[in-house]
Amino acid sequence: MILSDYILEIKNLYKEYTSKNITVKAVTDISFNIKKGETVGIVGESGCGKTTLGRCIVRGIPATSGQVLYTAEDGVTYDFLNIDKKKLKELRKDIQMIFQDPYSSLDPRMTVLNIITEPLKANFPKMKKSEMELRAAEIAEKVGLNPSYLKRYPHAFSGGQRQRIGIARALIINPRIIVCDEPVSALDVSIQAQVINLLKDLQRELGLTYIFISHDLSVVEHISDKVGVMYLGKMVEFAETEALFSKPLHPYTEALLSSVPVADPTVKMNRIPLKGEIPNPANPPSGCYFHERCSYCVDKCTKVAPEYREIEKDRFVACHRAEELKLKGFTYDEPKAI
Amino acid sequence: MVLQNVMDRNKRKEEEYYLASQWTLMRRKFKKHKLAMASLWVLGFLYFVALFGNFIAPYNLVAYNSKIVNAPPTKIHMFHEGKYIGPFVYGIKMERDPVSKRKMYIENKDEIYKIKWFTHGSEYKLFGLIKTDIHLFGVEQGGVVLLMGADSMGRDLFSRMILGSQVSLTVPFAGAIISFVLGIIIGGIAGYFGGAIDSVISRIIEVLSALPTIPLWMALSASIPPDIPVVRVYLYITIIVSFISWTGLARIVRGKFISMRKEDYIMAARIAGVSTWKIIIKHMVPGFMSYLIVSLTLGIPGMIIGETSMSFLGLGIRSPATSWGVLLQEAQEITSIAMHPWKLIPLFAVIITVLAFNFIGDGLRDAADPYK
Amino acid sequence: MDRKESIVQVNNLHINIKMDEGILTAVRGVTFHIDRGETLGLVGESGCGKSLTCKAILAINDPKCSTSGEILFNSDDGVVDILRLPPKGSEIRNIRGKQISMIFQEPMVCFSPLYTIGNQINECTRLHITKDKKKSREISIEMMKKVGIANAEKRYDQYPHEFSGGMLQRALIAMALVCNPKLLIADEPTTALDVTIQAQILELIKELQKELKMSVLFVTHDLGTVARMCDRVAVMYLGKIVETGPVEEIYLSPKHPYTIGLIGSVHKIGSKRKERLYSIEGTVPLALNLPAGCGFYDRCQCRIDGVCNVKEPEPVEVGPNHVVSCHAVGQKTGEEGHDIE
Repeated sequence: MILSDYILEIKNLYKEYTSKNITVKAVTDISFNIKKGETVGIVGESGCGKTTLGRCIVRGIPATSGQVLYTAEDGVTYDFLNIDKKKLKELRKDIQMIFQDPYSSLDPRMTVLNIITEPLKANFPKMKKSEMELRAAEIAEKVGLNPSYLKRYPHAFSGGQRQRIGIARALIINPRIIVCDEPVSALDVSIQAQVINLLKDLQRELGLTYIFISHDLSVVEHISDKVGVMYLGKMVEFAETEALFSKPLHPYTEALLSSVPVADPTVKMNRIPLKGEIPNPANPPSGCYFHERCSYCVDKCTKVAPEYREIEKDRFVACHRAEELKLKGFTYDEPKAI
Repeated sequence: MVLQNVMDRNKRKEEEYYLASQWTLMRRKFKKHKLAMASLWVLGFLYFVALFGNFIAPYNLVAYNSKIVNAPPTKIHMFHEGKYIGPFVYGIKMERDPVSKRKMYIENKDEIYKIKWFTHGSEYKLFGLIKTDIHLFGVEQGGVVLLMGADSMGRDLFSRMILGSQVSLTVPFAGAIISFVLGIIIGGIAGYFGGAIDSVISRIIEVLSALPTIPLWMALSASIPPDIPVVRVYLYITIIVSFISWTGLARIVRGKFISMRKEDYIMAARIAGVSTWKIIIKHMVPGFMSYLIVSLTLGIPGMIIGETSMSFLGLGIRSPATSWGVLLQEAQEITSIAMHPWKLIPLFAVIITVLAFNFIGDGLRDAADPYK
Repeated sequence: MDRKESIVQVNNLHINIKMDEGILTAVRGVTFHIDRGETLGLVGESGCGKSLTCKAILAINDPKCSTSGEILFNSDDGVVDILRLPPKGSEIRNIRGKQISMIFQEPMVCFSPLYTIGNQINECTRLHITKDKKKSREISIEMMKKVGIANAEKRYDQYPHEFSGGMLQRALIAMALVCNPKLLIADEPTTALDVTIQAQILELIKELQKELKMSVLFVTHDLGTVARMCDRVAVMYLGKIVETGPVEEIYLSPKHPYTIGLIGSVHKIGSKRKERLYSIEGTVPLALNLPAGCGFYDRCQCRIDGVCNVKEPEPVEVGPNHVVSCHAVGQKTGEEGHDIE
């Protein structure tokens, strides 16, 4: 067992679904690393496998193959996907998840108190009830819920408040990593800002590490330190946020960035048109999965799948022409302070 | 001041709503369904009558009187020759119609039998425990009171209908409980384990529900030995009735199991480390319980009709024990109905009960998902 | 109608919905107009009444809604008040689908899976343009080509399940535009689509608008798309329009505290990364038993006690075509907008 710089290393993760002799690769060979206290954003369009990836990492669904190396608090690294039951019981609470749909993620038949304390009951069966209630009240306060509301049922709350309940449930067992699966997509704009601010505050206060899955590029840009772009189950680019948004290296990233509607009527939009539509994941194209839609496609792209490689330090890309292409991204008005 | 009060009341109402559990919400929604509430009262009344059947019925199952074969309902009078003497009946006199030579029952105005409350009659055990001979009402010695006429053996139809309801109304309930247990266990196994077990169970369910119900019931009830005691017959019929209806429930349970496995809150519980068994007990079972109760309620009318039709065909409960189906046997022929229309009264009891259960099921279905 | 060039003028629209708990005042006095060839963006969060307003223009609201006010539409036969037309009469049917049409958020649920796409586009053509089968087919295919459906002749005979989400949305647009309407109501037309597809559809609507010279009422909660698409913006909150004005004005110098909050809460890529987003505290109240005064009072940072919670603010013109309903703005007209931080 090696001491690691990273709190989480995802190595060659695969997830395949087979039904009626058709195999669909939902997640193909994904590798990336996360440092403690960082936020890694995962973006991509619907069906690109980002949600599946998140669920595989937390062991919500079993991965087909690959490793998720987790360095626990004691400095020992475990493969989270292949630990025995006893160890899993111990480590499970370290990696938690926040869900997209604030309605289906809370059991309507339980009071908020029961929802929030459920992870406590599962992980600390010997804890006294009064202590649990105290913990729940504390955590409710922390996520901005009035503790006197704990006796209520979820139907008493709006989407934003429900999402806070979901966050409280994830936080109550002191996790170190939280996978946020589109946590604000279902919320109204003004509420989105509240929840994003809350997540940032909690991260600073508790030293949390986030994997932030979203299709909304502006939200991801705001919250993430690093961003990974997924296309058809594969990671096509992974880099520090500003580098990726200002100087994309993969043509898909460029197209994605150019499509974002910026909430400023004075900014002109130069959309790079994408040909066609996302191919069927059950029958992906040959070579580079993106070649049919790429305007920089050359002969090699149609035949050989590009390798996902580290082109500069902390910059990964899967494109044959990454070095030669000069792709456009966003211009940042001011250089970020050091 | 008034405004403040109104606002306070609204606040309180809101708070109550927020603190209301699923069942409270369901109850509230159900109460708004007028027809279902009315049906609940009707059924409550019917079951009350069935519970105190031996006390309410003036006669017992075996009592018969050959002098009143096929007698029409007796009229209850208050005044005799313009003089008030309280509720009473006249004696019954049989005569032959001079033309058709048919039996006719006319009132013998010379005989007066007063109706008495809480009189002594045949002995019975209330709730099967308390031995007594007190009946709610009866007439003085020598007279008969037939609120709904008599049958071809001279037995009081009113008493028989009330005593018959004890069978007709409880068989479906007992059947419901059996189907409930079978449905949850078998459907749960199919939904939880999935794969081959699921396929096998699903096929069995499909085959069972493809069988035509009535012939199957007939075949099954024909296998009940003819000489066993009434209680055992009752038991067999319950089992036969629930034999088909569990399949529908099992299907619902299986479907709910499968769809709920995909709910985010189940995933959340799993990620938090909650054990599978706890997830089933705490999240899944409460999740489909309301749906199960709805379909169970809607299944009861089928069972009532099942028992009634079996007895009607002579395959269920047999005389002198009775149920509504047995009573309707007498109404099999059109001539019998034409001449003694009161023999159809048990039919209305069946219709009212079935409708009431259906309305309640409707109300429950509307209330089952209070979050929508 | 005061303006000759207006295509539609909504005056003091009220929509109430009867519910078990009481009467929900979903739309409370909405007034706006759309000029010929103009795109008006109707922005607001869920439950602010924007969808009900749209449906009222087409007179397709649920019978449970009681609607009052007037919706003057400059139809082919002169100005009519849509609310006064018999809801099932021939006049409204002649307007609906032909002169005003609508595209919806979920293209999947707008098509019947039992009929081919062509069949369903054709329905509109045959109803309003020509009874001739061959000709209507030609018109429909022409329209499908116009909205960028490749292989339109072949696609015409395909069923909805053979189309992707983006293609279906294109087909829906084709269906809405085949009769060359004067006004297109687009209710969150791109919310269900991916970013790259969304951009395509938005461009398509814009191009077609220019080509067909129609007016568009663009309803959305996404401030990014509004900035792209609209000439003017009306911001709705709790059943009222709180601010309306040209798009640049609204984005660069918003006046109403709600608009300011809404625009501040969206992070702009490429801007200096701020630690925190501006956020409006609290949640949108349910429009049941609303207290007197401004609907935004509870969440507002600029509220004036004793004024805002007593009297509803009247609309005040703060610039050319820029109207705000806010007591705080009314008092300080001429000053700059409120500071965000």
